[in-house]
Amino acid sequence: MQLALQAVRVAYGGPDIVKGVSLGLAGGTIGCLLGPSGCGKTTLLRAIAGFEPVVSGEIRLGGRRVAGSGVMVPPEKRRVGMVFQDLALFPHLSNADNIAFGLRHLDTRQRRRRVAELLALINLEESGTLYPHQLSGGQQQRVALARAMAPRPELLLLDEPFSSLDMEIREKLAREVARLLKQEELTALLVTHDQFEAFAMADEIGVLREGELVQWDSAYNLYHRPHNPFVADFIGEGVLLPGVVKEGGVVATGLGDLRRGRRRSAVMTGWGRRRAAGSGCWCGPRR
Amino acid sequence: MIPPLRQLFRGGGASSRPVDVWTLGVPLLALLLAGPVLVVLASVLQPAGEVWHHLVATVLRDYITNSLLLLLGVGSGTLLLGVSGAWLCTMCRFPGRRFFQWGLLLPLAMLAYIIAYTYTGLLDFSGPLQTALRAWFDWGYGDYWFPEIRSLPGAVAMLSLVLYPYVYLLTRAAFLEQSVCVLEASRTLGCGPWRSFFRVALPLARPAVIAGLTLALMETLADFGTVQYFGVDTFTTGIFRTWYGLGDLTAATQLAALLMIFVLVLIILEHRSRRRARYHHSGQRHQELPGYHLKGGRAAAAFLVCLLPLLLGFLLPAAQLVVWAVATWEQSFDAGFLALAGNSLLLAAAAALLTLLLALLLAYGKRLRPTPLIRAAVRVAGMGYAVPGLVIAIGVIIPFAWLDHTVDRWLQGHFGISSGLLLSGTVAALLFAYVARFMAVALHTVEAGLGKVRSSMDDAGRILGMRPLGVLRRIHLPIIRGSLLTALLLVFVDVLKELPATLVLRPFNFNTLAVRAFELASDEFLAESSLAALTIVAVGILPVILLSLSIARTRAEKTGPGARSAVGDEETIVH
Repeated sequence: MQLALQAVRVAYGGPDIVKGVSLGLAGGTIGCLLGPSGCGKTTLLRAIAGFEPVVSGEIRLGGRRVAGSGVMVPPEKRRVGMVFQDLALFPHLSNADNIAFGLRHLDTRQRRRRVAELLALINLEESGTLYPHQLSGGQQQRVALARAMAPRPELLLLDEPFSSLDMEIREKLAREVARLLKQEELTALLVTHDQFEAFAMADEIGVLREGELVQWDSAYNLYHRPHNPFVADFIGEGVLLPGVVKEGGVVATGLGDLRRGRRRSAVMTGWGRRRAAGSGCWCGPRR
Repeated sequence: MIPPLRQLFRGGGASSRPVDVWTLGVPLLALLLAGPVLVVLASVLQPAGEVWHHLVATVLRDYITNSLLLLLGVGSGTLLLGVSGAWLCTMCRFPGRRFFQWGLLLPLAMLAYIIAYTYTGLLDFSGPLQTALRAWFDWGYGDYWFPEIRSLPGAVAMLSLVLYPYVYLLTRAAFLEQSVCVLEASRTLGCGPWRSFFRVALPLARPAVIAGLTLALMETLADFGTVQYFGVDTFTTGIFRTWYGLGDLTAATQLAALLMIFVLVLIILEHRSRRRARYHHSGQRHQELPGYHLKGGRAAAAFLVCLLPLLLGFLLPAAQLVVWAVATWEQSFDAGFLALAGNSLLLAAAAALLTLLLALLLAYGKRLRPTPLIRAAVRVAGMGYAVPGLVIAIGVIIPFAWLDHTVDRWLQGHFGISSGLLLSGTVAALLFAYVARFMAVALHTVEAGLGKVRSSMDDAGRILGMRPLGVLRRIHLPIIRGSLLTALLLVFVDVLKELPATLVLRPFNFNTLAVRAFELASDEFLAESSLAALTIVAVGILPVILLSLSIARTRAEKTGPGARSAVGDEETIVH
């Protein structure tokens, strides 16, 4: 696993914001933490980046322990890249210099080549000498991505990277970014509250709720086999039906008996494989 | 530590950190800087002495009446000049408008007491104007009435001419920020262009007008040179006289406390006037305001209305100063003058550097540990700017003198040596007073600069392999460099201009340009004082240029993302 979290807890001096999250992300895949605002997803991302210490649990990057058990590797030593929500492009540097910012270990010639390579990658060859404020929102977004990718980080973190953009270009850019990440064979973890963004980019998606990882699964399973009504409701507009669990995993609902329940607890049961998007049918226990 | 106190030390979002350099150092520094103000306020608790009763029985009523009349007069004067200038330069098109847009700021470089004695020279019985009148009409002494410039109305005129740019600047900025939509809405609702202005544009600009007015009135209360020179009894002259004439520091301090209460009332009124309504504009669209093209007589009238304050507040006095300086060049430009200028520049530079350094400490303290306590401390540290220089001077001299006496007595008692005066009457006392008085100027500017460095930029720097110090050097410094230079310049010029605090606290036989100009003028060596005055004015033009440039930038980027920050800069420069 390129990124492995083991029971990570994060707190700001008060109650836990992240309550024991474990997950693994294989090299070259794009993961996504999805959840409503205030669910702790950005906090978790900042802990992975090294801006917040973990209370307990551990974080491993490429097998190396970077946080936990008394270890706290500072962000500049983690070989992690990050695209910030507000982009955080340096206004006093040109776009090329922004991209070159993390490349000080290279000599001038190599650095110039890498910057040119990235500018070509994001289709902004002509804009290297311009300053960030001279670009459109989408272009700034791509420069921020290039800056984070430039040092070839072991893991790229994206914190709500498209939230400042218009709906129309958001999804287009999300797909484009996903393509770029795959092309560069980067491992990436994205944080968003927008399910379309998550599905457009991610191979694996985790749904967070109040600091807990409710489900970490492939996009397909998350959609078709949600573990509970929260996930179902958050991913698509679920329709919840009251039902009563009967013998043999059969659930009685007002629409008749359902027999798709495979989960032992039978608290929730997914039904219907061939649903149109956003029209899931759900049932829950009657109390 | 009791829990609420611990809460006070801890930031809203920061994780629980132990009490460290910042959480202790910033409040202590703030307390030190607020010291003079607190000392003066505490004097109210002291029993009133004989001199105080004497003051109450005789002159206190005059001090209060005169100060109030002065406030009223300068308030009306600055409003009239400032708002009309801002109105014409923003809303109308007439020849010379572009020049006046920045030209109207020039009187900011002048000092009230300098134009006061310049006009005295021009308008006195023996001055060129009255001499010419007598020659033309063949009058003799006592044949005609001529307004006495050395009077309360004279002081009102002088202060208004120099202080109206505060109102002008902030009002104009408010007009420029207004969305065109509200004016257009008003037009479609049946109001003509002038009515729209009075019913929509001016009420919307009201908070800015009042903010400018408050600044002008605070300067009026702080003024010492003009009223002293004109012989008007106000609080500042009263404080000075009680101390030096009657020799009662306690009574002087109590007067100073009373003056501070005046300032406080001003500030509270300003805040309240702002709170009542919301003045945000819902429209996003900014474009050139609809200009009303003035023709013929109207254009000429607008031209005159703009020219008058500029002429009287800057051009005429400056010209007179130049004439005097040229005439007395050989006497006044000597080694003594160079030493004087050297003193002033060195002192101002040292004070500016020290202020900037401490402002950086405070600003970073607030950025790194934004606890309620530290936020409050930083506000307290900037308090001195609202307080007149003379009051600060008294607030500095009391604790310093006490310290000196205590050390002296202790040394006498134990070793039989006298340490004399260690701190009072030294440059250290002077520097401390300057830092306490002008901290707000530097703090505002530095904080505005640091505001441009979002915290995510720190994080971005770290994650791209930079250590904290590297982040400071390669990200913070380049971004805030301009603000640091601005802060340095603003404090430098303010210190150079500061008269009353310097007059009171300077070491024996230590003179600055401002003190020298004032002393010579007080002794009626008007022409001889002009070189020192002219030097101060010339340096004072620098911030005005800075201001004009930042306004020009605002206009150029009116549609760009930088527009807001440029407006912010302007306000910082003014404050």
